[in-house]
Amino acid sequence: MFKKILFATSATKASDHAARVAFNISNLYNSHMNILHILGVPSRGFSQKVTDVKTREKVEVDDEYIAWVKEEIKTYYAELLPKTKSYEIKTLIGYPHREILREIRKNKPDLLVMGRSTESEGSPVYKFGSAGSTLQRVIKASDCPVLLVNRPAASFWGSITNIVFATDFSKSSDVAFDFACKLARNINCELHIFHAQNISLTPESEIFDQDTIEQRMREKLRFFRKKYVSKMEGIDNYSIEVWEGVPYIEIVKYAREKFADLIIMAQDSKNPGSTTEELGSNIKQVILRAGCPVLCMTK
Amino acid sequence: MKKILIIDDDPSIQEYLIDLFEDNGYFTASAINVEEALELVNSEPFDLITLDLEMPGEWGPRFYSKMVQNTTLKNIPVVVISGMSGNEYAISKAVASLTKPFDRKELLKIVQDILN
Repeated sequence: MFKKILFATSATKASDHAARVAFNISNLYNSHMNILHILGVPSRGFSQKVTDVKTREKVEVDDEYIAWVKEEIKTYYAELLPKTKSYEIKTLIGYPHREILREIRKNKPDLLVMGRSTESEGSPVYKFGSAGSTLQRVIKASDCPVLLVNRPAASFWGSITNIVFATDFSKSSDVAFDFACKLARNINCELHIFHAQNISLTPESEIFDQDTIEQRMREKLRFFRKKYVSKMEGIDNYSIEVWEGVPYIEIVKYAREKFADLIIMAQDSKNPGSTTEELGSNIKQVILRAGCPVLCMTK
Repeated sequence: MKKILIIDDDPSIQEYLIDLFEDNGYFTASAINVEEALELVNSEPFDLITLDLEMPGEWGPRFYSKMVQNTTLKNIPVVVISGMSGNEYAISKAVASLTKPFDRKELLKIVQDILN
C-alpha cells in the first residue's frame, strides 16, 4: 500500500516526530523512502545562492555543499535510517511547497509525510512566505495522501490498528472514505466513522435546542449507514458515531477515545476548488491538536 | 510486598530493573512485548508498571491504551522508560518518564514515592 514514501524534511527538530513515523511506516510496509530536503530559497531567480536552513548563512550551492548536506542528513537520521530497506536523499533549491509538489508529480509517491512547520521552531529562514504556509499549500495541491505529524505525542506509532475517518459527507470526504476503506481492508484494522454535528456558535449560526440537535444526529446516523455501510465490504470491525460539538475538538476527542493511530480527513471539503492557500479551519485544527498522525486527502 | 511489572524488549534492561527492584524489596514480573504484558496484567495484580515505548510489534502506548480499557487496571501507575526522544509526550497519564540511560536512584525514588 505504501511502496514509495516521500518524506519532506528540514532535518531539524520540527521534523523529528514526522521522521519517526515515516521511518516506522517504511519499516512496517517495506517501503522505499525518498528523503527530500529543500536547501533554501534562492536569493534571486535561478541563483545558486541560498540561505542555509540550519546555519542561516548565505551559501553557494555546489556539488561539494550538496554532498555535505546529504552527509549531515544521514548523520541526523543515523538511528532511523537502518529501519528502511532502501532510501534516497534528494536536495532541491526553491520554495519548499513548489519543490515538494513538483517531486510528488514527478515520482508519484504513495504517501507524503511531513512534520510541523519550522516556523514553530522560531527559525527566521522560513518565516517569509514559505514554511508556515508550506504545509497548507502542499496539502491543498498534493496528488497523493499527505500524512502530518504535528505533535510529539502523535509520533509514538507502532502500527495502525484503529483508523478514525472524520466526514462531513462532502464529495471530497467520499474520496477520503474510499482510501480509509482500502487501508482498513489492506491492514485489517478497525475503522471508526465519525461525524461531528457542528453546534459552535458564530454570529451567523442558529441556536438549536437539544431535542433538535439530537434529532439531527439521529438523521445523520441513518444517512451515515445508508451512505457508507454498503461500501464497507470486507471490513468487519467498524463503528459509526455522530457527536455534537465543535467539529475539530470532537474529532480529536473521538480519536483519543478510540485510541486511533490515524485520522483520515478530506482537506477543505466544503470548498474543494477554493483558490485560497489556507486550509479549512477544522482540518487545520485537527492537524495541530491530534494525538496521532492525520492523513489528508485532496484528490 | 508490592509487585512491579517490567515491560521491555531488551533483556539486559529487564535484568537490570529486576535486580534493582528486587534488591529494594519489590516483587517483579517481566514481559518482552505487549501481548505478553497484557496476559500478565490480566492474570495477576500489579502495583506499578515500567513501560518501554518502542518494541517489536505493538508499541508501549498501545499496551497502555489496551490496559486502561479494563476498568480494574486503569489506575495502575505507569513509569515510561525509553530511549526515544520526547518520551514524556507518549503517555499523558504516565506518572513519570525517564530516558535511557536513566539514573537508578531517580527511578528508585519515583517508584518508592509511588508505592510507599
